[in-house]
Amino acid sequence: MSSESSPPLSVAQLSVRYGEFVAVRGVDLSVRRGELLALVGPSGCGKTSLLRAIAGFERPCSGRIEIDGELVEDAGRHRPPEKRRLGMVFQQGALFPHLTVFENVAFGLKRAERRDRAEEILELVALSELRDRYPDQLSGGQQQLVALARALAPRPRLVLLDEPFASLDAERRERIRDEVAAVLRRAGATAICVTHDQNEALSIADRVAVMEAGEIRQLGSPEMIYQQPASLAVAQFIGDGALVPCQINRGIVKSAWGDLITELGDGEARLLIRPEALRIVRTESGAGSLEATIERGQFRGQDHLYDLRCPQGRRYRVRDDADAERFPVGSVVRIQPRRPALWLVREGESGSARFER
Amino acid sequence: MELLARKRTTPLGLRGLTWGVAIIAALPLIYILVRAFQSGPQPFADAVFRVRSLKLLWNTVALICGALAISVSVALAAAWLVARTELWGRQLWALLLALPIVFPSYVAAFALVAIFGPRGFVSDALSALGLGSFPDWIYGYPGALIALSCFTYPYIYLMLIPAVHSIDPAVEESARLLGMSRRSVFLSIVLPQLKAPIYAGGLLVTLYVISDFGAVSLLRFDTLTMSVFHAYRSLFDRTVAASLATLLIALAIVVILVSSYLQRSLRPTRVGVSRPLVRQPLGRAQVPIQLALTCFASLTVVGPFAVLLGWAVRALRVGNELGQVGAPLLRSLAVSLAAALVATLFALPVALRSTRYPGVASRWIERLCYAGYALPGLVIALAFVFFATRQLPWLYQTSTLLVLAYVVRFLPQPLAAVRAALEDVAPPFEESARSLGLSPWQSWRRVTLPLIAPGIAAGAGLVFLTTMKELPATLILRPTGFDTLATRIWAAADEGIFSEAALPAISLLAASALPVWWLTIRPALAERKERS
Repeated sequence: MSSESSPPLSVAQLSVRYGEFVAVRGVDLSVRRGELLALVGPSGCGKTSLLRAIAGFERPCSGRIEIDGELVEDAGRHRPPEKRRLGMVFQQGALFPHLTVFENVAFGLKRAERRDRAEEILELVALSELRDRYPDQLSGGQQQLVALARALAPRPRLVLLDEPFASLDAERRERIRDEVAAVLRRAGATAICVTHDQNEALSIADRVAVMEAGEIRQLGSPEMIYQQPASLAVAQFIGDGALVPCQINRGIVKSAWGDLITELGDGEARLLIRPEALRIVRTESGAGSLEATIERGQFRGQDHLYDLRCPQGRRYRVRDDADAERFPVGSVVRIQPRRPALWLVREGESGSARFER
Repeated sequence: MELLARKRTTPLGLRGLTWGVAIIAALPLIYILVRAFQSGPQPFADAVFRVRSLKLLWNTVALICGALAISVSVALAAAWLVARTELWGRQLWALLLALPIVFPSYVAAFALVAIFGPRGFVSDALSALGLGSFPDWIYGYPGALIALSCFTYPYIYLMLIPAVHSIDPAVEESARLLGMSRRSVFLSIVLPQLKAPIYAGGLLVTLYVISDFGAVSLLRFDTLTMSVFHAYRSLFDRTVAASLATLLIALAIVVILVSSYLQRSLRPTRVGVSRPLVRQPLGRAQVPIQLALTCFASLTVVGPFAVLLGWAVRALRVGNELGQVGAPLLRSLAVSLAAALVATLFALPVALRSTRYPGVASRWIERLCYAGYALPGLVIALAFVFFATRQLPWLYQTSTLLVLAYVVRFLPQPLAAVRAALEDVAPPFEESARSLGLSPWQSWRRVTLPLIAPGIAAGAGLVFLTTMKELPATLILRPTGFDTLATRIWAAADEGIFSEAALPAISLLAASALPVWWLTIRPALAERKERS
């Protein structure tokens, strides 16, 4: 059975290519027991190819894959998908249309445990009352939950989810993804979820791996990925905010709010300014603040979101408290960083920058 | 990326099987071409470019054009009345208008002769009333035209019905709001959306006319197919038959090229209706339309049935035994079942390869397997005769060769059905099964096979049905004394012995009624289920 010492999944130097096109380029990845890891990136970044290689549906051209310490993929060695004891949830669920919910869930089970285990797992996803329905009688969200139940039933060593929420409408999407994350945690399953939706990745995952051009650019907690992106590419892909070009000169960066000190090497870089990193100054004494005109404002229930334009033409986005008074479009306000530090990114590296004093 | 990810190497066994099927399917085409040019181009050119050949070509083209014009107009009117107007008794009419499809062309022709012919029902009735004899107009072009249009339009009609149902009424309403009249909306908005089923159905009707032998021979109208048959039967030199057959193949190829050119210009129309269709009131036109439909149905459904039943009853009364039909019926059933089984077995690997391992090779294999679609049954039969007498004499005059010809001729039907079914089984279904611990073979058996079973059944059913009705290939390839229902009907009708044709005709209709209903009429007329 699974050895406690080795990770549920370990991928080393894995590459997948289709003819000339390299989809996955020397990826290393290790998944911790019980975690939900999100694999996120723009379409064509290789995330689905990586997932399918782990599942055994694609043959990588080099590298190795170990599941629970068992070598399943290596030069000359390929365990077929059915021997890997993995669960997989597909974009459209791929429930067998000729079988009921119960039969779908029981499909991968041995005869002896079929009934009990299927009942148990249907209870876990709270869909016991739908057991006799056929897939076409279920909503999209229910189909995905049944697909998850079917994948979990044979107690897989690892669950792979391939864009499981992409075909759901926006309303159901959030509810189902929280539900799926909760079920995975209740089942104590280790899972990898591929998605192109960064919000989804940040909100459900324990750790997020950002992929681009076949490589993993950053792997870390959602907070870290959001606040301290490792490179310009990650900062551009994850979250929202301005990337202001700047120049580092002997460890000093000049910004509209004063000079910052950084340990990043000299040269060009970008200051990452998230909407929540700024605030609108309401007092007259706006020392170290920047004048800006409100171009657009939206009230979103939990906050106000403003798009502002500075006299020099630079645009910022600022989040303001929901209970603060609303500024009409065209009003001139002053904006200022909330914290004493900002984040600098450039091609391939990043670092903190803090204001002097 | 998705597309690239599907590229896998084709298993060796599947490659062998599919190429084998493709070679058998393309054999007649290749062989007839080789045969026609064997003795150099001169005899071929002599046979083809005779005045008589050109006359035959002209007759065939005239028949195609006439049949297309009538069948498309009738099908359009019928589909529109049934699907989009407040016609009284819509459901009954929907069925009645589809029913002529059950009559094979030679049964339809036989019924027409029995009604309008010199010793037919109408002329009997006229002379009984002392009104003199009825003109002999049914023979020749008019009769052939009626037989090949009023009994073939259901192919177009049944394709039009679902298309008419899926037109979005909002599109028409927008056009009305933009100031168009109802008439111009139909011509410039509705009709273009129906191009796809009209082209597809029109192609079916055209190929049906090109390959028809039964109706034109009974109604004495010389077409290419008929002359190929006579050349084969009467001349010692089979090069003439082969050359004429080549002309026939050329015509079929031109038709298919034109149709694929037309179909390539099609744009996908929106499917799925946002709300129920609006039906147009017929107002004062209701009664005249009901009358016209009644007349039409008397000609195409009630009349033929009545006259067949009448002759059958008369035949039984004069002592023809029902038991005489038994042996041909059993033979028809046996060869049809065999053809259905073999054609389905042939279609499975080809469909599997073209859906799961697409590529240049699989595309060519599929094309070759569609050869039977373009080749008239008569041509396929001739090719097998030529081939068997020279290369495999032990196969000549066996029912095996007959079944093989049916399979080549009707292979496209199960191929299309199984392919469509396999396309619906998305790879994730099979991959899910694999990830749940099933081997490729187990996941095929437990997931794919149950899902494509209806498609397989439909494909096999169509082969069964069309084989039951097949005439020209049966006439040429059957072993001596091997009478089927089709040959019985044709031989008796050709001699003008109505009483002997009626019983087998009724048996044929009875045996094929259920499959026709189940496979062609029901799916088209079924109310579309909307998925939430």
